[in-house]
Amino acid sequence: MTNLLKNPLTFFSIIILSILLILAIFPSQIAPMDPQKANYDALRSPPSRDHIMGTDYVGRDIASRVIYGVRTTLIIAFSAVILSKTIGFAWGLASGYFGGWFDLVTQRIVEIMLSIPSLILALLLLASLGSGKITVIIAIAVGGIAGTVRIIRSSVLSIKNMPYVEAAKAMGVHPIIIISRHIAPQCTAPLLVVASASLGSAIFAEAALSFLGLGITPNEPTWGSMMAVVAENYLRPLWWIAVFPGIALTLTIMAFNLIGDELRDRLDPKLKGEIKD
Amino acid sequence: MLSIPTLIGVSILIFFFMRILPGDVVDAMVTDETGALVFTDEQVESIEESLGLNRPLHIQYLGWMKDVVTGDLGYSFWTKVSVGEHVRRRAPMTLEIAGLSLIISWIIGLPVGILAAINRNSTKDYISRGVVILFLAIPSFYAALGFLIFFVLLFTWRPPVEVIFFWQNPIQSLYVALPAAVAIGTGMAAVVARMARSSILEVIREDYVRTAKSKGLTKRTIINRHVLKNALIPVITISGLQFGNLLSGAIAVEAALSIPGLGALLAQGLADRDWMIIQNLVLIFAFLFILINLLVDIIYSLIDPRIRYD
Amino acid sequence: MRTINEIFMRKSKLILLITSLAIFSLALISCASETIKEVEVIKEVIKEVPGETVIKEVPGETVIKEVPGETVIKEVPGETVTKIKLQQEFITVAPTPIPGGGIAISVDMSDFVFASNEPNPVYGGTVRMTFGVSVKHTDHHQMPVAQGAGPHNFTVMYNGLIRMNPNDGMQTIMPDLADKWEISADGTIYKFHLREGVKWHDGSMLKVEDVVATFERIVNPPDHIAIGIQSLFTEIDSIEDAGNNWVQFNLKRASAHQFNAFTMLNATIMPKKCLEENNFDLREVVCPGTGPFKFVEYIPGEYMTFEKNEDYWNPALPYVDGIKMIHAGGTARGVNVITDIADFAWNTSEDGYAQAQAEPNVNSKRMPNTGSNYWGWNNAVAPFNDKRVRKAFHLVVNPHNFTKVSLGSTKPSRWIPTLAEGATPTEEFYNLAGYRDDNAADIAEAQKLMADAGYANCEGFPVKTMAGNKPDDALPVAFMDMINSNLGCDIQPRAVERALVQDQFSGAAFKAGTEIIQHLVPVQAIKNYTPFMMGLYGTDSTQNFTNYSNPEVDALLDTMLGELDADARAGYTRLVQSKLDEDPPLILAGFDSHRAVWGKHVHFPMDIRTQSIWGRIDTLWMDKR
Repeated sequence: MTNLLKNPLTFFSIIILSILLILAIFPSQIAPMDPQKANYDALRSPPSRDHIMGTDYVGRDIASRVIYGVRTTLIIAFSAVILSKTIGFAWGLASGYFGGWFDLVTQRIVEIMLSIPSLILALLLLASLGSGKITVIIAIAVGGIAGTVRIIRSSVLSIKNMPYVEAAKAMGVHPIIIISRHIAPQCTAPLLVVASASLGSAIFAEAALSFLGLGITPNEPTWGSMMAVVAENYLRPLWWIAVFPGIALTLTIMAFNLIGDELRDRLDPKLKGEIKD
Repeated sequence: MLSIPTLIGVSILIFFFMRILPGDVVDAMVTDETGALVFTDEQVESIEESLGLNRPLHIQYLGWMKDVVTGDLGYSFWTKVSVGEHVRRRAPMTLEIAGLSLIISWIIGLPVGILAAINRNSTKDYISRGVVILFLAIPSFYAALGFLIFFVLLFTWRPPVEVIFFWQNPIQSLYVALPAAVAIGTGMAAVVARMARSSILEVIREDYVRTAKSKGLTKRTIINRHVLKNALIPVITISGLQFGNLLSGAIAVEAALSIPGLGALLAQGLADRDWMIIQNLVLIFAFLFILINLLVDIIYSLIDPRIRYD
Repeated sequence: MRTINEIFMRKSKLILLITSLAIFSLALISCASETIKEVEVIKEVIKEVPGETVIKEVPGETVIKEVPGETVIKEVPGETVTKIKLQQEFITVAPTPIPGGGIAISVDMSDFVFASNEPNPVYGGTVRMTFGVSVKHTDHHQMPVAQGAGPHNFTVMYNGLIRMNPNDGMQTIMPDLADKWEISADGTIYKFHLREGVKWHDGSMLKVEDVVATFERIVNPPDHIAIGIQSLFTEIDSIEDAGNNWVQFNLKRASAHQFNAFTMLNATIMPKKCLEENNFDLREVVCPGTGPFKFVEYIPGEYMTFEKNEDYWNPALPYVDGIKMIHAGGTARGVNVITDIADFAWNTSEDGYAQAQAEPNVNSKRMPNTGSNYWGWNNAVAPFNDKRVRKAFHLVVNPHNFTKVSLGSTKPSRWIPTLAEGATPTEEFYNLAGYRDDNAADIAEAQKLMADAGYANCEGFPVKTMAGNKPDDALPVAFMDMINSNLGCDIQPRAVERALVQDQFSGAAFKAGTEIIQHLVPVQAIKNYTPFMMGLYGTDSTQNFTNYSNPEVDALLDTMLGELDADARAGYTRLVQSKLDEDPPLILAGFDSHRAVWGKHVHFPMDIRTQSIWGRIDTLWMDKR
């Protein structure tokens, strides 16, 4: 555990993640004010002692909105990743183990889905399902399934022909038991790697979607929608409305990326990436 | 050459998502978040008829495919302008941005990656890796917004907001495309740098490099003659894969900078639930993506010496 | 080498030419100096003679008008009076109040030549304007008519009968397609003479039948279309061709606002042929106009272009070769002018305006605008069919907060713009419930009303959404904040494209009473706000989307339409305002101002404009390019 902390980048990301976790769980205790409450006497104020990140055009405290945004972002990102990895894991296992036409069909579907950039796929889904928290989660999740299936499937393929698996098969053990007891555990490493990489892109996706106005309802504080306002009104007095959420977004993505990198280096150095020397 | 069946498959997928899922496409157009209808029943019916939605599904699909193949991309539901016309006007802009982003990503990413690899584990390496990680994390639309604010505040300058074809007025056209390209390109540069670094490090370990070293060739010669060529192959591959991110990034970046490109068109179509635009534009994006990856495969097979000697 | 003969011949031709020119010009001069023509006219006439100021009053008669700096000479009734040809002078023609008798008006401005108010205009160039909205359709008269959402851009290609004069800041009336007009003594007959030789953009000639067809559609639209300005012309009974290129409007009764209504920027004349060919629905076709610019193309989301009409009936105009209207967002419009992407913007955001004011190479001006945002609900169904709920909403929304979040642009208004006649002075109504800043008592009352209506703390309140163009904007966020935090409701925003907002009023959510819609009150340029109130709040009126029906208000408005005494009208207006306070149909954010920004190289009298009225730029010219 200690050498985990030796790497300054990893140390940094763990700190960030802890802070994010605390903010997500206890926003009301930490945020200085109600993120939705308008304050007509403190409109558009730049960062000051009363409002460290300033206020927006209806006087809402930016710092509070950024803090409440943590919870929204993390919930959506984690839900999407859990959903997509669960489905992808099961599908990849089945496809790899059972082979046959199911596997062939899976491979084709995966290839097709990987031909559409995941954000665009999410946009397509949102167009037909409409906006809202659930649909946003589903939309982001769908984009992550295909990649997971591919990776898990190739893991399964390399394990499938191991002697102990053959032996279990010969003994007539039920396939479900074989998969769950012998194969699946070996695939958790790549699963974790893929999952951690996906978190960063899920967070980005949620921000991009709300920036485009397609995220969850317009009024809840999300970092993307806060930045969207400034895209329209980009003049001097309001830069803090976009800059602070953007910093929060960048730090969050960075932290998750770093953790993802660390996990990958430890769990599966064969996978492409940074080569630690 | 699996691309054609893949493309067909993509079109079926798009069709599936738009029509078959719960959440009928017209429904999404005509309801709000609470599920309440915002059009009258008669209006919904006439919409469905005009979009041909009361025909059986496979007929609708074939009808769409026939239209696409003959170049008829339909008409925007709200603005009544042909989608094809929109695409003709806007595609050059987006492609210009894409091309510039790619170039920028190489110009910045390759030197950084090579430098980091050569000076492995030195301070230079750590700094560049830190910077790379930072730029990987910065969302492209945030960077775009940042540039815009920066230029407006300090220089009272903002890029023009209309379509300017490169062949008509290259300087003005670059004014429009460069800020977007830089915003997207710096993110991609980080990916390229990272890939280049690890790929070079891997190649350095290869036997033939050790042989070259023992032969007494200078570091520079080794790098130039043996390492770079081989190490850059994965970089090309990753650039191709990144094209997908590029297209997605273009949507938000074009929205941020008010650039009338394909991405902005898609964003607009999504906001208006303009189903003709959404469907056909996503198909076009997928087509471009597949095309680029095909190109990458071809280039790959041309320059990878291992494949050549096969 | 020329022979002497040739030279002589040449010289004599020259002499002949010069002589005939001299005779010709002498003839012209003598004709032009003829200023008086004898024509039989019913009663009074208005004549200005520059120089001395004389105002003669005859007891029993009313003074008709005054023009600052000019003289007025009044004639005694009973005698045949002369009709005067007016040269380059402006008159205000507000129909006179007619107590019992009547004073007819006859105006001949056929010598009037409209041109730039600055000397030596420069011809050429394409003026780039920025505007902010995708135009939903191309019918200049059909809804939506709000200045930003409708097809107002097309104003540059059409003409009306008369118009307001930009050279004095839109204060007085000047000719457009009509160069002479007459109003009967009892105020029920208006006659306009169309100037000769006006061509449509397709080459055909303008005829009286075009005017008749246009106004018949406005006054009596067919079922399948909705005309925005219909509410301004409700007092017109019939329209006819009065011969000799005169068109005649017969009114049901004398009405104070009626004449000025003809100056509205979209009371434009359409060709009869185009109307008939398109079944009187011009939403998908751009009809030829008579105006100084011709339509070229429209790329939705990007721009619209017009080119100079070389055959325009005013040969000196327009000065520019063409117009390019570029689509841009609120702040961007001002910034575009500053950064020379555009030359002119009718309006920009407060931020854009602040930036423009600091910029030396642009001019900017804030002008009152008689448009306003409003939030409308369905008054015909629950919950808003309960007067208590309506009143509660009215009390809980503090309009001063709108002023704050709009950076001073939107000012609290009591149902009508402060420059309208009969408006309550601000010192007065800023103390009234629902309008005062210190509104703790109002909030308490509102909460009690909601509880009485069965929605204590907003429980069970069916309204879920507020639909609007940009629900993230300051005004709607403030509106929802005030409702939600003061009444305990949870109304969420829903974004709708600007050009589609009007459609939401026929949507199921609105019909079911679960949605409030944010819309715009259309801009109007006349001080008499009666027809607009009628349109917005009169039962079944064209702009009354909220299904409001208040018989007392209807009766008052009807009286006001026929009331010719301005003081009496003002009194009625106050009454209407307090009735609306008691039983509110919707919530007005407040009439606000527009901030125009234009480059210093643009010559167009924007700085003297007293009100923000978009539209014609035929006398605009530019220095460079």
